[in-house]
Amino acid sequence: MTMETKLALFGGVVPGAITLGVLVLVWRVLARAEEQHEPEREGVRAWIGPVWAGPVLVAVALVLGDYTKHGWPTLWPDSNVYRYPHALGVFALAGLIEAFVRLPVWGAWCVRAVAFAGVFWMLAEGYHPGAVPTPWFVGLMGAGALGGATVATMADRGAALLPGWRAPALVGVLFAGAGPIVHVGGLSYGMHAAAPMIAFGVAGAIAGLIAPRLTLERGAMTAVVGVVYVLMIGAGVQTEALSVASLVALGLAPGAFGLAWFVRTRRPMARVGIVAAGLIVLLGVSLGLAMIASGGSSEEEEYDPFARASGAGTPRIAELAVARLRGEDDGLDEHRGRARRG
Amino acid sequence: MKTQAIGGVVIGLAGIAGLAGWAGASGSAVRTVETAAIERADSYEVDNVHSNVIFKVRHIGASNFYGRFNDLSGTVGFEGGKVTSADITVEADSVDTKNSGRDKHLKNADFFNARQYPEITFMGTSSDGVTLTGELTLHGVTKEISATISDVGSGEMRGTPKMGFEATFTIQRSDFDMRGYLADDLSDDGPLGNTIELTVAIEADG
Repeated sequence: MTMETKLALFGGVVPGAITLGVLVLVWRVLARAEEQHEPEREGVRAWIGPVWAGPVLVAVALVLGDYTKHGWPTLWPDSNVYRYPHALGVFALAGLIEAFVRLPVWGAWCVRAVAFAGVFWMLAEGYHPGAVPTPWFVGLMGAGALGGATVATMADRGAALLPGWRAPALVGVLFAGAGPIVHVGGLSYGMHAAAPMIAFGVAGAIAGLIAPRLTLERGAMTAVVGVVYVLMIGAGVQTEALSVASLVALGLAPGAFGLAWFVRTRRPMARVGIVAAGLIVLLGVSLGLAMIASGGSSEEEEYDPFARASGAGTPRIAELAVARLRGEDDGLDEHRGRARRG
Repeated sequence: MKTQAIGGVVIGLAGIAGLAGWAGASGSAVRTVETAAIERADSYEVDNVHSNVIFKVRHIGASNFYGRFNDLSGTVGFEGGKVTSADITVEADSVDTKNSGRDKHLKNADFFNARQYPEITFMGTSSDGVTLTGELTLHGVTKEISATISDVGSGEMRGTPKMGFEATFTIQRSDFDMRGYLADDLSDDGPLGNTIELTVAIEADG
């Protein structure tokens, strides 16, 4: 199986099908059964459905995407790069705690902070103290825990106000931007994480049309922000950071979901529009900063890490966008032509 | 008279003892010089400027691609014109494939993960002069490998004695947990092959 077939299948079709199947089944069957058992009272959110499915599905999607790059995960690999599925296991566990245990906002924040700190350790301990000296290691772990938990809390509160197709569709938008950003930043894994997350978002949006009360609050958004955090560590610690500012903007992007919480409006589409605008602005800033920092030589532009054997199109789109910004698209097109002929 | 005879014997013995002591000390000094000379002759420091590590890998099943590492160090043992040992360290960060974009990619998480594993090391454990066996640590994984030694030579440069040799060996990068861009069946037909052929050409200073 070629790399592009593998990515399309395990990074797109399979996670999408699993997400769609499970969400439709869970939210149509289990949710209805629970509704009958505990009918919602007017004005009181007595029940928010089988939310445990969300974090599990996000983790499954990332494991499938990771497979396309690293093969099936092993129990505890020495290379920190191979621990992305393990990191999503931690975020899924935190999400399940949120789903099954009714915690106050600060309680859920604490659970998330522990998860973000733990994941930083998992993915960065091999780089300490060589590439990341102790003060930086401790500082980044603390900042990641505080920032990650806060962004995840904002995303969770916002997702509560974006039921049905809305939040999953916006998750798709988030990763359609995040993948190319970290790719430009030097982490080709970005596409292998973004593809299954976009599939999750699209499938979740379809499921949300079938089950309008589907929600990504209480767990799923912690895992979604977790995937972004994994990409940030991949592009900022495991790979020498191309642009710290770009990574910070990327890290803040999921917080745009929180705009639905801050901006008081009763119109659901207005909330979607506000969150989408926030996401596009933050992702645009992040991509722009990454492109400026990538600045590189024509020699670097000539190198195509996906080559012909992988053929993933999106990185080429990102490269084309960079070249167009610089007014060098003619040369890139010529290069693409050469690559095809080759 | 008797006293003088005893004194003469004592002085004579002392003289013999002193002479013997001097001779012993002199013999020890000679041996030390010889040992040092042998040690200097056996242990050579790798000359980074005149040494190379070159690797070959199959690219998209179409061609063989070559790259190199620019920074290496270590010591090599020679005896009787044969390589007896080699401890060599290569800086993973020094990979050079004549394209800075590709070099960055090779250094990052997909391949050498040079920030976590900055050094590639070979510690020789045995040698018969033709085959050098040792432990190669690459990408955090240590495996025993055997390299074929050839082209052992010697020379001198500005008064510094030089020895050199070439070692070739082959590894499967999947054995070293380098999974990026591998074919599913771990063959050489993926985006990048699994088999890596390495040539290490060492020149070392005595």
